[in-house]
Amino acid sequence: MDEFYQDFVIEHGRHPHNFREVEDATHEAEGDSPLCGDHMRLQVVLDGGVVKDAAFTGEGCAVCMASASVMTDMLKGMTEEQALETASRFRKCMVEGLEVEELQLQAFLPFRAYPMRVKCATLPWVTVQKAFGAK
Amino acid sequence: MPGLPIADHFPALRTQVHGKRLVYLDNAATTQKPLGVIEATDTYYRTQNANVHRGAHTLSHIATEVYEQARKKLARWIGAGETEVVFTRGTTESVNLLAYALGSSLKPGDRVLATQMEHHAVLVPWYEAARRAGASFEPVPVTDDGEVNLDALASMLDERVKLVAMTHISNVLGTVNPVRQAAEMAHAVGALVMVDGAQSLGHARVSVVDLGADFVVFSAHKAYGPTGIGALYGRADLLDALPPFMTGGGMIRTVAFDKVTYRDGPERFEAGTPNIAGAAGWSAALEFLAGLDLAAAALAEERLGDHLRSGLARVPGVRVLGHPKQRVGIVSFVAEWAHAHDVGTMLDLDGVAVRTGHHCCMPLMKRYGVAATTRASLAVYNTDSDVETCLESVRKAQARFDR
Repeated sequence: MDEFYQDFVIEHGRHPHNFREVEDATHEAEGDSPLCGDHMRLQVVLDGGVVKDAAFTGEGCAVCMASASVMTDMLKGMTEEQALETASRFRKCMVEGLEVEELQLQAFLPFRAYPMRVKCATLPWVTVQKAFGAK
Repeated sequence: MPGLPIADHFPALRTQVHGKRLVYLDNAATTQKPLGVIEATDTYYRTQNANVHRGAHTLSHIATEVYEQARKKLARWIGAGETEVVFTRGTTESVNLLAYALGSSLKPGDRVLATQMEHHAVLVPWYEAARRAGASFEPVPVTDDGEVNLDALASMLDERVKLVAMTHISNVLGTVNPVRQAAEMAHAVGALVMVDGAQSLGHARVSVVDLGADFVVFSAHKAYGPTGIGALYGRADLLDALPPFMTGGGMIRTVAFDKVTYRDGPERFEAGTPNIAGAAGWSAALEFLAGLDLAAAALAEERLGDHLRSGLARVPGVRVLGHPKQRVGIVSFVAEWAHAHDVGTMLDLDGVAVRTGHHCCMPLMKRYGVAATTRASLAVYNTDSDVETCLESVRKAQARFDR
């Protein structure tokens, strides 16, 4: 059981980082999972090609909230390209069963056993792709 | 197999989940199937398979018998006449059939009422029927306890109301609704009543006469039968007056390019080759039900359900939705420390199968101010040990998440 809901995921899910609104967002997008009711609004401040701030609001399960919390932490300091590369690599890992190097992303891999829960983990990353206008 | 413990009739209950004993508490979604049903379906395909009503050969005659015997058996079980039972693919198709056929007589200014606790399978077809006709579609409110507010229904009823849709048993709250009383009220203003019986057959002995409804819709698979078959009960005089819904083979009397005439009775609504194996399986499911002491089973289920209800309510941060006076073993709850999907995954890891989400009842979710609930629903094979395992798993989730 512990590998599914590691303390790391539960902590981030219960007390997500960057759960707030941003005044000077340069990019933003809404993400929805109509089937489970997860909903988030992601805001990013891009300055000189680098993410200066990233934050989100919304509601969802622990997996989705934790993933958004971890993601917004990770985004800060990344270039747009790095963010998009990480997003597409993580989504691929969740669907195709590949490994990821980042420890904080590894915490979500067990949920691949539940196809219904994969999108809980990937919704924030899909939303950042949307915010940056990528597919 | 008399004398066999009930759970032993259900081979799927022996499946292990994550190395744990399966505790199947998603019966409101679909029940497991007893051996008799599995064998009847198997026997049909192995030894009896042919198309119905059409062939001159022996197997076709046998297949027709299998299919029509199922209709007779269901009709007897629910207290209807044979010509009052239309086979469909399930509750959803039954409602669509009715909403289309009966809905075609709706006029602008007419009103269709449905309770706030109806399933999307009832709400959406009637919403569409009302919209097509320019009629209004209005919710009958539900109380905090999870009961239909009959006073509100009384004040809503007038001669413009053409149909009232009410579920017999709520798939979310477990409420058993006072259908007969509501039907009498609706009939007094000339409205027809459609009852959603999707949850009924598995939990209670159903008599369409006692329900007092004009139409009742059923699925086999929520009461130990196979998926892909259900029924629409309609009072004979009302069914005869309805135009066809699906058209095609089997439901016609004569076909020419300039004129088609249709058959009477249930056949008019059964276009195409029906689910004959499903009918064979449904017969066997009804035999399984007939072999149970249903009154005792219902009492036992209510007791187990109440144990589940009170056990859940004692877990810190858990709120059970509704507390209807008349109820069956279907219990929905929310936890302030975790989303329903997290609760569902935590329970699954312990082998406990429950449903999470809006249960196809978005208006009811809104009524209670929640986006999703976790639902545990009981069947005849569930035991004290199943309920205890579920409660233990919820307590474990609370200990893990609530910090």
